[in-house]
Amino acid sequence: MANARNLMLDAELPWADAATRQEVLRLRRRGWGGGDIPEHRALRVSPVQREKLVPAALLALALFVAYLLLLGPVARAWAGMLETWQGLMDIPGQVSLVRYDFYGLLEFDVPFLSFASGLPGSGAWWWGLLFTLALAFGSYAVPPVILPLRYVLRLLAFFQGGAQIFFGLWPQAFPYDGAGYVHGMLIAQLMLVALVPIVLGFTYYVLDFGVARKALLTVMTMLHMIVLVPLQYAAHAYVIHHLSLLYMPLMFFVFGLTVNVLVFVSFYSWGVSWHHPMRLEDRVWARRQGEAGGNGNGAAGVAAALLALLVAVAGTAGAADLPPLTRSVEAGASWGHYSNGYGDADGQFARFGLWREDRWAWRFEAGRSARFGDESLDGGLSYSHWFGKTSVTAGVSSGTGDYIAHRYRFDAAVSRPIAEVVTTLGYTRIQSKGDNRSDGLGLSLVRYLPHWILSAQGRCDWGQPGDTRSVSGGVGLAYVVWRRMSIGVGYDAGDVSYLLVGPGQALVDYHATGFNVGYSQWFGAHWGLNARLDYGETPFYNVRGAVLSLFREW
Amino acid sequence: MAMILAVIGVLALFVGWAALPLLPSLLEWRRRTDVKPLRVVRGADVDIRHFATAFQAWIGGHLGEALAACGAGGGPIEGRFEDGTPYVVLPDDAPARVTVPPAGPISCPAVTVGAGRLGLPARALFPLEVYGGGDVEVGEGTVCRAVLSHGDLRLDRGCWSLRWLHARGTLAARESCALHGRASAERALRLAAGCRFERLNAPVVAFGEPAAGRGAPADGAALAPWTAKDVPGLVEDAAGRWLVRSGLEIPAHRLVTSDIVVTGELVVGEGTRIVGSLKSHGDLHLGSGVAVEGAVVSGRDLAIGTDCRIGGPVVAERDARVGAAAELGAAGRPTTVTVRCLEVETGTVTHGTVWAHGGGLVLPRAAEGKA
Repeated sequence: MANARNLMLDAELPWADAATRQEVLRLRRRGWGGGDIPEHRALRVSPVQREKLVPAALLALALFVAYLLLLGPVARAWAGMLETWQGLMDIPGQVSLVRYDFYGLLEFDVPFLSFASGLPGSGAWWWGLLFTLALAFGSYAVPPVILPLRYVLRLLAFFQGGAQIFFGLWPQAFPYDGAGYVHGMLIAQLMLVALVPIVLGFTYYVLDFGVARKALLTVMTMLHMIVLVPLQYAAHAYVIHHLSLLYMPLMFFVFGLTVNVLVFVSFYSWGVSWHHPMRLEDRVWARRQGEAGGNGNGAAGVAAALLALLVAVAGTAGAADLPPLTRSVEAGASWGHYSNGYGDADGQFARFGLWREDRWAWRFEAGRSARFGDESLDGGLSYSHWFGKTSVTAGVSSGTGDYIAHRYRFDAAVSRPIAEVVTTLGYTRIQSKGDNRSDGLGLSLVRYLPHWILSAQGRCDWGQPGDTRSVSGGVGLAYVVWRRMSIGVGYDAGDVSYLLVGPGQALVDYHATGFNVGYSQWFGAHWGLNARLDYGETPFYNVRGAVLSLFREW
Repeated sequence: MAMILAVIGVLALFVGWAALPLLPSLLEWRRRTDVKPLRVVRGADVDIRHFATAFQAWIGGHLGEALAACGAGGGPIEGRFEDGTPYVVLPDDAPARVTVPPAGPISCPAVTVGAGRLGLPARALFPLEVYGGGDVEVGEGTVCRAVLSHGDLRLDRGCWSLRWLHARGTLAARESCALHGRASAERALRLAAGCRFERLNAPVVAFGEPAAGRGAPADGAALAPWTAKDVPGLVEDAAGRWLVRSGLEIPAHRLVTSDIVVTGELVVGEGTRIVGSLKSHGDLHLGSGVAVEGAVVSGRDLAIGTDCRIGGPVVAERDARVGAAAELGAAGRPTTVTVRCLEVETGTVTHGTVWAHGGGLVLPRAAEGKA
């Protein structure tokens, strides 16, 4: 009996050569007007591609492990955020970290927000009853056009009604206290975030989306939850502290894990609505019909105006038009040595770029660096948008550690070709981990010639405290064979000036120079290698360094 | 006051941040972009002749005069349609115009329109449509995108059609042809052994030569009745239907006067007559000489033995094989055969539509194959 193989493709052609057979098979799908005839959307299925299963599983595992490794920073960040929200809402108490040991395999901290919570008094109970009745009967006043809201209100009334009965009859039997409840929920949430890559691995990674999109959706969901949870449970703590334990069941059942599951489902549903290879033909068809929108989630463009995090993927999701979407990843490491006993430096980094030529571009960077006895985990994000020939770029970066990384750095720049010279005017704000900050203006000029790139830049930074000023500049020259290789040299020189704040203030002001040589080599149409050597001199030390990275672009 | 504002601000931030992932859904709700119904050209899906009919109308509208001129004894006419597509109109029995490239197959880069009888050369590629005002003969090993014949359409060995074929008379394909897409004929359609197909329609669709000594189905009066009490695992006997849990094997030469639904595998012994329909959730096997007056539906594979008769639709969720000399549907009572992959032995005849979604293949009947 025949099996699932396509019997038609076994038929023999009079021409044996593969090219003619391929052309004939292509003609099977060619329409009258010369375009391809797509298979109807109702008949298409998203194939589970076996070659993608292993990368998908590895991605899920990598994100899961990465999160476990970052449990410490996440717990500390939660503690910090809880402290902030607690202070803003005037919840008396303090935040501490409680250490847990997971069967000797993993030790992690979970914040403990201590605050007072009591049983409801008679007045609070009656107010609660009024609130419940208002919810229940108020639901009937909701107009039918927003019918679902009726059921939401009745659901709230149901849970609050249950609490009213319990606290009306057996208030002393209620076994929980507010602080313990919040702490327990934080443990649950910490684990829930860990499950995100696993659940998406089973439900989203099997779909035919690129690895970058899968990773992006997962990271976005996790980041959103990481920010949401302290805010959520600070709000719970406020309600329980001020309105009594009478409202804890409502908080738990309706505004607890339910909200986080809703968030997960929302991200998931958004992710599956992104443009998909299966829907490519629909977009082609829509364009041929002169239709706007349709067949894809066009919401992303508007979301862009509201939140940069969501915009990052909105650009990806809404990318239906030319020019094509391009992505790049780069991963590498750096080494350096400082003279005069200042020690060595090393770092590792990964960069991801996503852009449409002359439309918009996103750049993400994450890495680790160590020097001068300090270590930091760094992250940065920038976005560029083109308005005709003019582009505008904004970026932020930050890092952990004690002093080598900035608390934050903000960059904004406007770029435009003027007399065939790409002129960029930029502003930079740097806030150190200490009290120092600086505001700087920079100007860069780049001239592109066939195979040659000439560049020059200068900048001035004004620092506080101490009202310092640092002026620096540099020039560069590169020889480029487009997408084959490039080699370039650069020279920078300038002043570094800031006021060292401490028990005794001291003005630091010195001159620094630097040279660098860079080389890029493409090994194929999509990937290659970057290498760079640096040498710098200051009155305190000389530094020699090298950076090596691999990149892929597609 | 500042504290109240701070509390309201934090609570609003919580609600706003929690609702943020809903933003794409809310925007889609407010400004819907993906609400259009799926694009279905009903005529194209329902009527197998849709493309042929549209092509006929289009040719009539654009080349009516040229066809008339050629039909009246004029010479070939060449030109281009509005979109730049070239065409050539040929008088009766004129050879098709082809170009011979230095490498690759000879081909015709124009829509070929014959005012009368039209012959296409062997081992040629016709990437655009072909229209014949009379009979159309396609040479051995030639590949055509689509052919509409106002008379009979004959394909020599090893021909391919890429999109559709339609004959106002009879469509006959010799050995090892591959009919991608649709093939239909107003009178009859005949495929020789080794032919492959996807979607066929004609009042008579014959696979190979119809069996000469087609055995008549057994007369019901000569068969022993098989009643509900004989059925093992019978769950329900109601409304003229037997519902049987797990598998069922109906013995040979029995008369069954009920519809049967089986949750497992169903085997019908040879010579049995079913006055009703059969449905199985598992595989379904019909022995030789079985007659089913109604439909045959299999949730998995379907095997139909030689000399079987089926009056109603034949459906298999997976693959099917039809033995030689079977008859599906009847003259004047066309039916539909729809399966994933289909192997059918020569001598079998169907009436109506045959749709093998994953492709079909005509096999020489088992005895011939062994010979």
